[in-house]
Amino acid sequence: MTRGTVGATVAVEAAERSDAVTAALATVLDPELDRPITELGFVRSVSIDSGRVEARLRLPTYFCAPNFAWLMVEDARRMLAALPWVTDVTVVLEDHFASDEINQGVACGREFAEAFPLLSDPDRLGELRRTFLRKGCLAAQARLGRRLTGHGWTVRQMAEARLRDLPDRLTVTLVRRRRALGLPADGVDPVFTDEQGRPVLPVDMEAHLRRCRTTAVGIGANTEICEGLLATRYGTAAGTTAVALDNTRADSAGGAA
Amino acid sequence: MYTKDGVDYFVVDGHIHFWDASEENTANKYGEGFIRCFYDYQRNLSPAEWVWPLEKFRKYSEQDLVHDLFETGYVDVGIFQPTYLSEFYTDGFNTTERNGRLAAKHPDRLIVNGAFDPRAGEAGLAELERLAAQWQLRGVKLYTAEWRGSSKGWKLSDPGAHDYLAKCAELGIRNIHIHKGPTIWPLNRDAFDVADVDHAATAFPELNFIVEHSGLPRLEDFCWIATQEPNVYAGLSVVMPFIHSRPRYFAQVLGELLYWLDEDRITFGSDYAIWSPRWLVEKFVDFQIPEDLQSEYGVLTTGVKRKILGLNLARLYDIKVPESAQVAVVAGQTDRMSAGQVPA
Repeated sequence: MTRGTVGATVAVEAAERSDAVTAALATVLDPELDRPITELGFVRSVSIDSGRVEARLRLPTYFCAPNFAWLMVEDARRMLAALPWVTDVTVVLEDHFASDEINQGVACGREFAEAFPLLSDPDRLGELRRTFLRKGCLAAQARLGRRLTGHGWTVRQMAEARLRDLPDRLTVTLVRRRRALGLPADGVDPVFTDEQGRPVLPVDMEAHLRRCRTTAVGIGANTEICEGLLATRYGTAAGTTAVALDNTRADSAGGAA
Repeated sequence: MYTKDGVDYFVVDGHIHFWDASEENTANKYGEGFIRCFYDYQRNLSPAEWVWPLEKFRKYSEQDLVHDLFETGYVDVGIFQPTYLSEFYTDGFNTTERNGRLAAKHPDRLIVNGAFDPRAGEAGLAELERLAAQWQLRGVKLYTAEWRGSSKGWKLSDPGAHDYLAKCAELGIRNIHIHKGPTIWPLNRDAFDVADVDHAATAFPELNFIVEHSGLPRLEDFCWIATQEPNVYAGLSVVMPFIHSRPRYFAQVLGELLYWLDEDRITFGSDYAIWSPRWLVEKFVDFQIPEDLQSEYGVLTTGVKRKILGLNLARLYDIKVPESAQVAVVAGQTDRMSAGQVPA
């Protein structure tokens, strides 16, 4: 540790900035896996030099879908740029077949469709993002349904449950995904809803939870493959480079289980 | 044939390759990236003793394949699924021609599938006829996410695809294997999207649609379609290797497939040479759903395992199965794994 008042202040400020950067990156999700990139080990390194921040990202394979990669790079850049003390942001995606197009495209504020003019259609990326947020909502409900069923809740009780009836730590992921979709997510709103935010009736609850469960198993299995491939590509410690700050972990651990 | 505890399992490996990704045949950085990506799949999900040196993985011999499938891998019949990748590899990666030369030496053990791309139009239809005549095709492998010229992939529901599927029905090509998986080009759509399978399966009830990798990342979308379409099947390639390092997820994915589809529409595939059938078959026969998941997913019976490992594909490809490996029909006993099935 640095000794002396000035040194200590600088050290504290550096630590705070480092924490702020990690926290900002922890809000960036892999859209498909519905998990923060910090937890997945996709953040290889971060460097901070007064107001300049550089984050280097890496993915499980050379051919990971460039559209999803684009969303992560773009989100990381936006979240870092929103920090009040940041003057200059660089986000670099490494070891990807489309690294150049993605890094330059995002840095110049282009749209995905502009960076890959012949290979994509305009306006489709936002739709894709919403599709996966909807899946995230279903997967979060699967975890809640399992937990509540385990505590003896009936389908009627679940259908009547409001978000305020459950502790925040259990609903944080669901609430975030719903807000991102512009769906009702206040305390008075129901816990269990379909993709459009409509409440689930008791008679439909069992089938609804089945579909939610299958969604969660799919996302979980996909995550297992991606985490394994990342570790294979970069060594077994690949997943531990960044500290997970997003408390979604509290209710997303173990995927479907 | 695999025999364990006095029970015979007839094994049809529905997803095998004979590729060439040697340095001499690799045309560019995409080809290099592709084979290394495949290699990471092998390294990630295989037991350590089943990981090959990279050089062997790039190009293995006919003898390797025959040894790993038939001499030690318990496979009775293997089905080649071609992957052309002509822009990455000078002579193609894993073409029908390359597979066919090997299959010609083992006509009773190896089945060659073809491929088509509806964007090739009339010429492609003629080429499909030629391939069918040359190799007596009973199946094709399709890549809907492949980029071609200014086209960003295609869908089974496209009018052009309809003509090709009609041609398949006419030529007796009944088994349509569809790869739903990573695309190598920057499309902003979801390359895994399985919605188009629904349309084609309804339009062609006489054809079987085997979705390879079970639509895994989009498992729920796939299951939803398969529930409604009795001629849609789940191929277990890529899913099966989970059995070694992630058995719990394997149990859950298989449990979901059995719940939504049933045991008659799930097929084994090793994806050789990414994975080898020997360890997959051995582990699968020994596998059981973990106890704490059995209330949701039930248990795996011998009959279910026999169907998945070989009997289901034997039915689709008209392969004769020895009497000793048939599923026994015992009055009052069902091989169903879980209750509440939808009709198949």
